[in-house]
Amino acid sequence: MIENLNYLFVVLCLMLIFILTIGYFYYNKLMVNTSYKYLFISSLLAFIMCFFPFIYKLLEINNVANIGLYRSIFYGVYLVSLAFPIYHYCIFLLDFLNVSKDKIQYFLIIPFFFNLIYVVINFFVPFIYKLENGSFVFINQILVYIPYLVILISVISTTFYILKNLKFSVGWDCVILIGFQFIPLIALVLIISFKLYNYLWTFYILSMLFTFIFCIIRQSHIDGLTGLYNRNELNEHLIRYKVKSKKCNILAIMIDINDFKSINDRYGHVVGDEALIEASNILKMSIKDYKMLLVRYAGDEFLIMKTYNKEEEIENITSLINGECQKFNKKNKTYQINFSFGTEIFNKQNEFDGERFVEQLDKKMYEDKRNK
Amino acid sequence: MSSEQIGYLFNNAIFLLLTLFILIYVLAKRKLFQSEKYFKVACLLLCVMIIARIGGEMYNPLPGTILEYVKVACLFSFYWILPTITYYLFLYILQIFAVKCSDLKKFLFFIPIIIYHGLLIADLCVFKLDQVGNGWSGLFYIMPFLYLLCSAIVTIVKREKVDAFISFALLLIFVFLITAFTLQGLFYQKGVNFTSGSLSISTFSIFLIVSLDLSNRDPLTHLLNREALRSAIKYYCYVNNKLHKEIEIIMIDIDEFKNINDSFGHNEGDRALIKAAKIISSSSGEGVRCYRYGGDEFIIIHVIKKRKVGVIKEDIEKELLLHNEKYKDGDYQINFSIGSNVYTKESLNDIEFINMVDKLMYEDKKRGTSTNQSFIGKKDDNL
Repeated sequence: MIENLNYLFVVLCLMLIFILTIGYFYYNKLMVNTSYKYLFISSLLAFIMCFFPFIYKLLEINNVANIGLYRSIFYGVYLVSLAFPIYHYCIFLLDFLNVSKDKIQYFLIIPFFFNLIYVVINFFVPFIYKLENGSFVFINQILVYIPYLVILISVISTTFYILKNLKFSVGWDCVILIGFQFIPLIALVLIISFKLYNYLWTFYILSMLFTFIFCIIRQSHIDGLTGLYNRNELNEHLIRYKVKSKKCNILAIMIDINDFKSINDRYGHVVGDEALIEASNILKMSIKDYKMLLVRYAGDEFLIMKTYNKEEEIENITSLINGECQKFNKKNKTYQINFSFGTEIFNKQNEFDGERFVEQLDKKMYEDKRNK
Repeated sequence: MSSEQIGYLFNNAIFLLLTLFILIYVLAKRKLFQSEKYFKVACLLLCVMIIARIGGEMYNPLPGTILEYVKVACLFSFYWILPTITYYLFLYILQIFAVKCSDLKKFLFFIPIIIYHGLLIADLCVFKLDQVGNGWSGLFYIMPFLYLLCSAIVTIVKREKVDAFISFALLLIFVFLITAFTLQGLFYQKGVNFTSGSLSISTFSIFLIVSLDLSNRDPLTHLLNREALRSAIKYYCYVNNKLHKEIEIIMIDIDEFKNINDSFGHNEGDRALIKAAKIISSSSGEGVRCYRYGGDEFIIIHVIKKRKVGVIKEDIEKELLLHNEKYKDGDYQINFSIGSNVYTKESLNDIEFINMVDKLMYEDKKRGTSTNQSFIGKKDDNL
């Protein structure tokens, strides 16, 4: 009994955290992304799942007639409903990563039907558990774990999409997020080896909570329109570069779209936004082989920062970007995208001052613009 | 290991993961959490405590073996650390509510813990080894209980110093903690395990609420900052476009702020900003968010419900008059230029809005002095 009490306490604690977290973000109007509603549904379902093992234990204690039948039905419902929270969680993550979920949705619903068929077959032809003289008996201990495979599927699919979509991220973002996905899988292995079914869902909620906080923090570093990093990220990198600048030179390129204002004025804001997205895609494509930071600095200004090694690099990068531009301009006839560049190299001898550095960049870019 | 002990391990593993998450995050973002040293110490101690607790309860060693000593050492360190964590949490709460606390006072607060440690050592000496953590150990929970009670009282008394949500959440956390500790102390011998759980949950919640709030607030005026506005504007767009509600946006800037800055120095300029922020936030009322957008620009957004159009503007002007009368003989007077616009249904566009504000700010900066008339005129043209 005390074991159950402690378990209930854990669930209560996690609930408190979830309520406070969601309350905070709701109160400060920070829940911008619509994908959080999937996470909300998923966490709610997971909390309901938390109570399943508890009720199952209660059914074990009481001596009621037909208890075996109730337990077998209850167990079947549990195995089938395993898939619900996991499905919603996957949809949340895909939605957050901007993956179109039209096709993958149907793929993710397969485990639910599989589990349903699995349990229904067992009901007629028992091979996992059965009713023997009105009591509940397991036949095969290993086949019980087959419905839990949905967790494995979810972990694999989310990891795949994280790897595919966070390609441009710098630092440990990708690794950390994947690490969070693996928490329930590790829990599953432990649970199977120790036969403690309760704790799967508490660990699952923990993984959800970590992912949620990670997403919220990361979102504040990403520009909503183009998906590039915004100034928050730049500020953090400037701090990092301050340490780096003692060892190596730093190259920064400020990029500005020429005549963006005329595109905006002539075709309206919708096309202007489209042009910004196209421009950011061009930049992304052209520097995908380099490891560097790409930031949307202001309205139509972008910033590239990296460590500086050779002189040819600047020309390499600008020619790559211009090449991509020409490719795009051939395809698109309504408006043309061209960039002006302002470059600045920071020598390791001087004291690094992030703000002044960016200011100088801005000046150089305007010079470049005037020359055209 | 019995199944009960494995359950115990799993319980504690969850809380250990939670605490480690906070600790790693806080250490990774050193810059942001510079002043939160009490919180860091509390987190670190909590991690050690949970590990000690797991080590102390996981196995039943044979009497006389080395493992028994290890178990006793683990349990002993658990009881040693427990009240210290609550002590640091208490100090952190004092810091949150900006209660000044000298080193002497801090030491005075620490004295109960020293007494407690003496008792603990006496307990170890007087009783047999295997009795540590049994018998009257429930009494050990009185000390952390007192610190938590003190923190809760501070939260209630000083609740108006911070945001309403934060004080409410902190109160909720402390009520939860106190209940958990009372239950733990009363039903200790029945094998209840609420300590590490409740503590790690509350540190996690405090971390979330207070520290994430740090990144959304301007350190000088404690109003919400530009990034918070950027995300909030999307929410207001949603309310405006999908839920069809009217929204009023008020923009305020301080007249001749550059002059104040130039003639009285930056410190005085900062003080003027703080005063202005106080006037704005106190007169805008509950549930209305105020943002400091840039140097001396403030933005207020609210959904028109109880407070009608123009009421807030009038309130601010009234408050400003009161303030200026109070400081009649001061070096300078604060004056606002206030421009406002009502967005009727489906007319607010987030990108346009932000771009417009940015442009206004930029032009303002270029001009050097913010002459309010042209600013307001421009604003009304654009809105």
